[in-house]
Parts: sequence; structure tokens; C-alpha cells
Amino acid sequence: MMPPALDVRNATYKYPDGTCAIEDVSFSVAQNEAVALVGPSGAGKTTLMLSIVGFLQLEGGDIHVKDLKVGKKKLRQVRREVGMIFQNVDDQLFMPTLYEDVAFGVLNRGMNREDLDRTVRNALADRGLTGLEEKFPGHLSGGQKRLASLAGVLVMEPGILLLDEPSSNLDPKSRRQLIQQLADLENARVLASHDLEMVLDLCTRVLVLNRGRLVAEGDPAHILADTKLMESCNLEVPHSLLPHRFDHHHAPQSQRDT
Amino acid sequence: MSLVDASRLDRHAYLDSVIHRLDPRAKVLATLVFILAVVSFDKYMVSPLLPFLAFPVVIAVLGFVPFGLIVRRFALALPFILLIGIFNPLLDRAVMVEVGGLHVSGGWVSFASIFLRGLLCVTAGIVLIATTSMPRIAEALGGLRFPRVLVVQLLLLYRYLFVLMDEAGRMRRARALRADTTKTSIRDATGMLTTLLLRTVDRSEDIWRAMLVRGFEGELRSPRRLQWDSSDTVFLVLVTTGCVALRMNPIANRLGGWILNP
Repeated sequence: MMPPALDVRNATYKYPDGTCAIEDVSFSVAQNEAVALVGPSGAGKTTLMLSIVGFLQLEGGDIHVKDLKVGKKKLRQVRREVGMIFQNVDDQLFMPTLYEDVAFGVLNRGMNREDLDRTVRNALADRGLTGLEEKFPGHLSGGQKRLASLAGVLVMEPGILLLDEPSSNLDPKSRRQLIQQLADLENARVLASHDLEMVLDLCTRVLVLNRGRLVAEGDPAHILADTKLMESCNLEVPHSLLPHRFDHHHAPQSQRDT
Repeated sequence: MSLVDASRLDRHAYLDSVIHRLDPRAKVLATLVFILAVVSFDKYMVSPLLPFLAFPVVIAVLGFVPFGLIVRRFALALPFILLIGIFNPLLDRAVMVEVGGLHVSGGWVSFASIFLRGLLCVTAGIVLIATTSMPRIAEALGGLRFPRVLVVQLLLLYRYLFVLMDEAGRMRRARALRADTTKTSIRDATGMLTTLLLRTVDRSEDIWRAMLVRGFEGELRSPRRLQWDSSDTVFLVLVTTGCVALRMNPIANRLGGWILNP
């Protein structure tokens, strides 16, 4: 039987001031599965992601990426398996040109220069960024920056992709384009997002975090439609799951009178 | 002003010109040779330094670097240069030359020499940065076997400078929208600087994490190969020959001698 791409067991992390950021969280993500982490701000979504890539050391529990236990000893191997897209995409694009930025990760892995050019150009082409190779990443549009950061991570062929608020600051068209690109991926994906419509479009399972605890898990259409649960977590039921898509005031006069 | 100029200078580095196309190692070596030649003169030498001005001027013209930008960047270094030489006129009062009946002490002559050398070295550095991006300079330094730690430090310093610029720009705009006055009190400035530092540290940590997660282990590798060709050799030979010739054979002194004693 294939091991899960990611296995989190009883993960607990406390900030230096003693506040519990995540407490006894357990879940696993299968190969090729897309799972969403939702919850209000401060629920522990980003902390959990940073723990998965080994930036934060758990107080209790453990995390396995495939068969690797996340910890100081295996950090390099773990980071070969996990790609992460950060919330602020400007911080992810740090090289002077887009080409160099996408090449950054594979060069660190020691890819030879003969394969490098082809690999980088393919990665850019896959994200629809051909022709922007020599552009300074800071001058790209918000949508292009997001795709560029995705290209820079996917070129490293990670088994798991962690996406922290991938649709933040995107216009509707860029957001739609990003959803399409993410839907086509075959990697295991963990997506932390407040964009619940995106979660519905992309994920087959949702985990609801509240105050560091995992409070619900299951099918997104079912979980996100649970009004009581959503309200208790300071979240709103996504518009597409509301029973009446138009409220009374916006309905035609004929419907209002009935 | 300085941060905005740093950004402009950086943008110039990505233009295309005969100077921009040179191998960065050739430009770094040429600049080092130039600086060595300039600082090797005796402390009372002034006129032999004047022909050296041709180097930054020619590079700036060929590299499309606006002189206004060079002047503004030089103005930032000026206080440091003045500080180095300002005490010379007080300490060295012996009359050295007479210009139009005016007695000029050795202190003033050495002060002028320090100023001129500072001007030449700083402008040479500015035109180097304006025609070669910082990552390319770092590649050149790596190629010239400079210590790796220093090269990485240089690049990170360069990257975080822009983080600082971003954050400072945002804070300045936010303040301008809510403040009654354009003046900033010391109390406000202290608060803003503290916030700026904290925000910059946060963002720097995020960049650092983004680098680590993509396999960074202390060495910035470039996908570009440094390619040294004949034009680089010609450039370096021309600059080196020019510097050595001007150093060994001070043309300005000779010209002055010929004018005074035809």
C-alpha cells in the first residue's frame, strides 16, 4: 500500500509566549489528493504549513512526508519533497529576472546546465509565462507573479505542494486562471485559504481549524454548507452553497410578492 | 532620495549598451585597476588625477548613465570624503604653492587631492553598478574567487535593500494620507523607524524561508555562464594601459610644464 504523501499525527505547537498555535492536529493527505485547510485568521493554518516544511519545531506529535519524519536530520530530503507557495508572493520572487528565479531551485539541486535551460523554459511555458524570461519579477502583474512563484516551485517537481492563501490579491480573471492551473496538477496539494469558492473548485477534502484545533473534516460541499459550524468558526458559508443564491431585495418584483 | 536613486541605478543596470554587454569580471577588474591607480598617487598630487576623470565619463556616456544620477549618488558619499580631508588644512599649514598671488598650504592641496580621489573612486563605483546588476557583480566576484560568504552577503544586502525600500515607501504613503503636515517630528520618525525595522525583519524572514524551501544552502548559483570574449580583453587592456600610462606619465603635469615653460 502506498504511504500517504503527508501524515500529521497529534501535531502541537506553542508560541514562545505559551499560546497554543496548533493542538493535537492529525490528518493525512494521499498522493494526488487536494486538501483544504480553512479557518479564521489565527487558526493555525500557516503555522501548520511552516511546521510541515520544518521551519517550526513541534512541541508534540510528528509529521511525516512520505516516509521521512520532519526534523533537523531529514530537513534537506523533506524540502526536496515539499514545495511551498507563500502568502506574500513578492517575498518568493527574489532573483533579478524571472528566468533566474525559476532556475534558482533546480540549480540548488545541482541540475546540469545542459538540462537547465530546457527545464526552465518548459516550466515557464507550462504556466503561460513564455516571453517574460528577462522581466524583473517585481514588475509582473499580480496574477503573473503568482504563476511565476508556482513555476519556481513546480520546476523542482515536489511530491506535495503547500499553498498559503494562493488567491489573495488576485483579480477575478487571474484567480480563475490560477484555479485552472492548480486543478491540472497531479501533486498532493494542501491549500490554506479564506477563498472558500476556490476550495470548492479544487479540493476533495476540507479540514476546518479553529483556535489551533481540527474541528471538522470531510467533503467540502458538506462541511462548508454547515451554517452552525461555519458560524462557530467565524466563517461564512460560500455563496454557491447558499440555498437562495439571490437575497430577497435583489429578486425580481414578481418573486418578492409571492 | 537615496533609496529611490538606488532603485533607479538598479534599473539602469538592466539596459543594453556596449558597456552593459561586457563580461562583469572585465568591468570589476577594470574598476579595481582604476581605483588602485588613483589611490597610488602621492597625497599632494592633484593635477595628475584630472585625466582619470575620462574613465567614469566615457563609461557613463557609453552606458547611458545620466550624469544627474551620478551627481546625486556622489552627493551621498561627499560628507564622508570631506570628513576624511577636512582637518588637513588645519594640521598642515606650510605654504606649498602660490596661485595668482594666493598662498596655498600643503593641507589644502592634500585636501583637494583627497576630494578628487574620492570623486574618482566613488563615480567609478557608481558607473560600475549602473552598468552591471548586483547579481552580475556578485557572479564576477565569485568568478574572481572572492570569498563565497562575502559574495552571498553582498547579494542578500542588495535584496533586503529593496525590501526596506518597499516597506518605507508604504509607510511614507500611509503617513502622508493621514498627516496634517509634511514635517516629521523626531518622535514620529523614531516610531516609524522602529515599525519599519520590525516589518522588514518579518519580510526578510519570509524571503529567507522562501529561499531555504527551494534548496538554498549558502551559495547563489547563476544559470548564466560568464563568457569572456575578445571585447572584454580589449576593454581591460585599454583601461589598464590607460591607467598605467597616466600613473607613470602624469600628462597633466607635463601639459602644465609645457604651458608655463614653452
